[in-house]
Amino acid sequence: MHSPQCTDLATISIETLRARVEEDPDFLFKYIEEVYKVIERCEETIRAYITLRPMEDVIKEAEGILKRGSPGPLGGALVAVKDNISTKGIRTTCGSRMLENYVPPYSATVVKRIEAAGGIIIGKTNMDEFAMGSTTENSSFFPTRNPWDPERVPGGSSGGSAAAVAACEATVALGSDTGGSIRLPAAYTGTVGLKPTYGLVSRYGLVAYASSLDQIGPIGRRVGDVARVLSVIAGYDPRDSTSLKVEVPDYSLFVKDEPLRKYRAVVVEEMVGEGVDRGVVKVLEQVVNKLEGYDIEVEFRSMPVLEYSLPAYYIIAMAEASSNLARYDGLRYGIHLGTEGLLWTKAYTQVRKVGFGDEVKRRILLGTYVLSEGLYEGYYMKAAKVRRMIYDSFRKLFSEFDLALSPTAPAPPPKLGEVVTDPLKLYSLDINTVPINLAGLPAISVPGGVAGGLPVGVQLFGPPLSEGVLLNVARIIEVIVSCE
Amino acid sequence: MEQVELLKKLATLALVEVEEAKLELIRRDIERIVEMFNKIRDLNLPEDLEPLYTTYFGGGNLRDDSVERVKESEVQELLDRKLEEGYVKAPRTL
Amino acid sequence: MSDGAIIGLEVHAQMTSLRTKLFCSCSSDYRGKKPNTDVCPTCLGLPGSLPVLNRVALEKAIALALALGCKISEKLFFVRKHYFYPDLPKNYQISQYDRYGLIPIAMNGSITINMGSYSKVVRIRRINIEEDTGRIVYPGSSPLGSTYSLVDYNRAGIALLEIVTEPDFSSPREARVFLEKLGSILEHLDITDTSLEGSLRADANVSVAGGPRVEIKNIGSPKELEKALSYEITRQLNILRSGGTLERETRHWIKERGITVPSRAKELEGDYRYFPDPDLPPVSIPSELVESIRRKLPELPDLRARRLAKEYEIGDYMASVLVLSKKLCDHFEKTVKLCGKPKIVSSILVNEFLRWVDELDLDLSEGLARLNSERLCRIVDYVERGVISVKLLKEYVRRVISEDVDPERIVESGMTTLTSIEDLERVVEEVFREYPKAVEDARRDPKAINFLVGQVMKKTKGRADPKLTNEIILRRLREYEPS
Repeated sequence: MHSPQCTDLATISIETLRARVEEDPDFLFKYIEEVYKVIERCEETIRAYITLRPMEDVIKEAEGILKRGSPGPLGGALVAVKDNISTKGIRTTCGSRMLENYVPPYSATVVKRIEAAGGIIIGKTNMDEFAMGSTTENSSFFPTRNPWDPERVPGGSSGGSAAAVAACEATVALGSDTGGSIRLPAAYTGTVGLKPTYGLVSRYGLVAYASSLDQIGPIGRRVGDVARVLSVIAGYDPRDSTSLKVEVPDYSLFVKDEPLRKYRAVVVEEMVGEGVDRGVVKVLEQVVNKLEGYDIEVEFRSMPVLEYSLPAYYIIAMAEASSNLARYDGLRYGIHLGTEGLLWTKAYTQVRKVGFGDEVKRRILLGTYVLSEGLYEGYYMKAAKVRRMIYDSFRKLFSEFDLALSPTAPAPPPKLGEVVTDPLKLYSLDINTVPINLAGLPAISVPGGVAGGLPVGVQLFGPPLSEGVLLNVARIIEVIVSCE
Repeated sequence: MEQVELLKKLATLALVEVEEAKLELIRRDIERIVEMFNKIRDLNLPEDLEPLYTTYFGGGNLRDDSVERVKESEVQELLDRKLEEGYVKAPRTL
Repeated sequence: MSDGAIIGLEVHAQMTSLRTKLFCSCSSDYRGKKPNTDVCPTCLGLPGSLPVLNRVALEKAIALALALGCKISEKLFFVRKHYFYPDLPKNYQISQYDRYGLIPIAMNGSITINMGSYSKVVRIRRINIEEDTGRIVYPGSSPLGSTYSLVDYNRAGIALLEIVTEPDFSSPREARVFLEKLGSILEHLDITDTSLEGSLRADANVSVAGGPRVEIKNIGSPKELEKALSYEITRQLNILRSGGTLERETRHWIKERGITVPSRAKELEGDYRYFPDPDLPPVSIPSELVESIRRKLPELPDLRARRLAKEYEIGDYMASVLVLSKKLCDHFEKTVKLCGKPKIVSSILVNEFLRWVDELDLDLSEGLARLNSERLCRIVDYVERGVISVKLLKEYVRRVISEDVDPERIVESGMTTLTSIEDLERVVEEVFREYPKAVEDARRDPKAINFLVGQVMKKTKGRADPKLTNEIILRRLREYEPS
């Protein structure tokens, strides 16, 4: 749960922090200082942050919160924000040279909500460039290292956020998930990461990668922390046309050590098939066995259409990415090159050549390919049809079951350099996470145990708006694991 | 080689240039990824199966027709190094 | 015109009556503002920004679709149309499409135009809702010489309706009348104020003698449309006649020089890579909404023309010309309410007013402001009372419009009908003395008195009462006849 970098104080939960601060406001400053001490000790190795706010600024903001009277539901928590979420006045790079010095003139809706709830943005975290990657090695600046083993990746693309939380360099973090980018790093770093139902959390201010798949979600050391943050950021936003008009419950109410009702759970066979490491499968099996002690029955079902989820996902994601990244031309914001006298096509090409890394270029080219005249029907449209099939299959599955379990990742975290040079190998890390994004379902990764000394995450997912159920069962697993 | 031609055409469409030195490497990667994509292309799916382009089924958010002014200074700060007499400086278009 | 001309139009109308842009809450009132002052993250295409549809834009689009008798789609789909250009903030335009199972807001309607001796039904292929681009200006005086360009994004994101016709036009005149009628429909629906610069733009596709299609862009008014098409048809025919061949191309209309030139922006053409915009999921258009809009539709030009013809007994053609402009039509009804006499008023407006406004190259609004209802009624009054003849009437209308003077001033300057028989007889005497040969001709052939009448008119600067003049001349001729 907590990596070696953490001190007792730095490990604190939001609930405890809030309670302590209400009693004794000075405690907040003690906590802030502690976290900065931890950062000073381990950031040089971990490198979770691209931009770290100076402690004076954070202290000042803490003072402001305390003046309000109540520290709010987040109680002064230090929130690390993935660098593709816009923060007004704070550099937002998306891990890319293209936006190396871009300072947004506005904040994302989730950031405004965090601040209104008493959270303090401590810094912007490292990520794969424009969220394209699964190990954070595609950051244009530097890789982040896994606090559990600095030779290994923290996962991606929200690697910086997950590492910061795991190493106690923040209380909680915000990440984004398009094909597993919250859940995979959570699994690799032994933290809890939640991807909400598509539309539950506003995307306004999230720099788009694949708009029909992207969601912002919380990463924390505990299920309880994740639930608290979700309660703050979820809910309708009129600035986002894909935002759901739904009642947002207090998700903390679901974080109970006992099941709130009878649950029927399922494991999809294809998600524990050949491509998955046996040590990882064993961890899942142990969790499943323990769950039966809580009267949660687990059955097995097959979903053959999942064989096509990876190519369908990448066709759709790359197509949308090629479109979303068309705007980066250096004209209104971003990298500024001397392009006087050049025709606009030449000028733009120059900017995009220097501003984008190889993986981004690859995905833009491929995305352009699958959308082009004559190929659209064969690729993008067909992938969308497969998406319909996956969506319908899950719908059918969840008419019978309340939630599903799977390993989050097919194997424990690889070493740096091990997978990043082979795109197909890299993409295969997402095999269990992408189907969930295609169907727009909620999912959470919670630490399930270890394999070969490295964290293994268990993924829970369910029908739309079933975050409560997932948090409940995730908490139960958390209890199970901590008792070992 | 047809593939390199295709790559160059895509690069022109997307205004994304790949350096000569990396061209072969990227071409190979792209070839393998397209092979993966072809699994989808070669599937036989029913004509009337409707594609799914979004998982949002909330009925649509429309906006009232009332003006909301963004504080001028905020946007000016962003654009300001690019401005000439208030206009954004852009490359040649003719 | 038997040159086998086939013309189709693509019209872009700004929804100028909206207060905000199509997908963001920036003010849509961009004319005359300092550059880049009506912008926000969404219309600038900042990272992380998102579009949200303007409800009223949808309602107005539905209203137009109903007015044109189109089939309205049950769901609203938006697509992204990709190309790179400095006036396009996201380097894609949010628009609509009619392939891949997607449909625009409306399809398959029509507009009927009254050409005088015949009517024509022009088919509307589709109506799209889409966003406008920013504006590019060039530093210094010569666009060609500059090494960079300047962009103003105030216009980026303004709501547009794109109306595409089938290639049903066979003459520039027809195209012009169509564009005027469409503009009038948009005005009657309170969607577009066509007097605003850039609010109604047209691209035309024209081919002659079964040749390839040439697209002409950058046409800003019905008048220009007729000019551009006339020029282009002539240009194409000349090429064919001299044995040359025509190519399919895009050309640019240059208003100041009255010519079309090959378009420079060739790099824009290409694969637009349309796909459904994931930021704007399909929205249902309930039939109740459509019906409520239909019930609230105002009186549209065709219905209005019928009513005017009947109520004021001014004839179908006259009515159809009046309704080509809402402002003109409103002016007519207002004036008639003031002083009646619809036949004269409509005749003045249609036959005189429009001609002078056209010749003097005046804005219609400006022309109507000068020939306001009070002045118009006064002129009608003068005619009724015989103070001025019908011939002088034309002169009065011209002067009021071109000099912006009250008709009373013109009366004071002495330009009234000369009805004093003495004065007229004196002038006739003069003419008879100066043109004895003409008098001889007239004596032999009564029809030839027109020359003499003309000379009397000339001498009296048009003031002579034509009827009286005729009578006096005829009498004098008889008196001179050798018995």
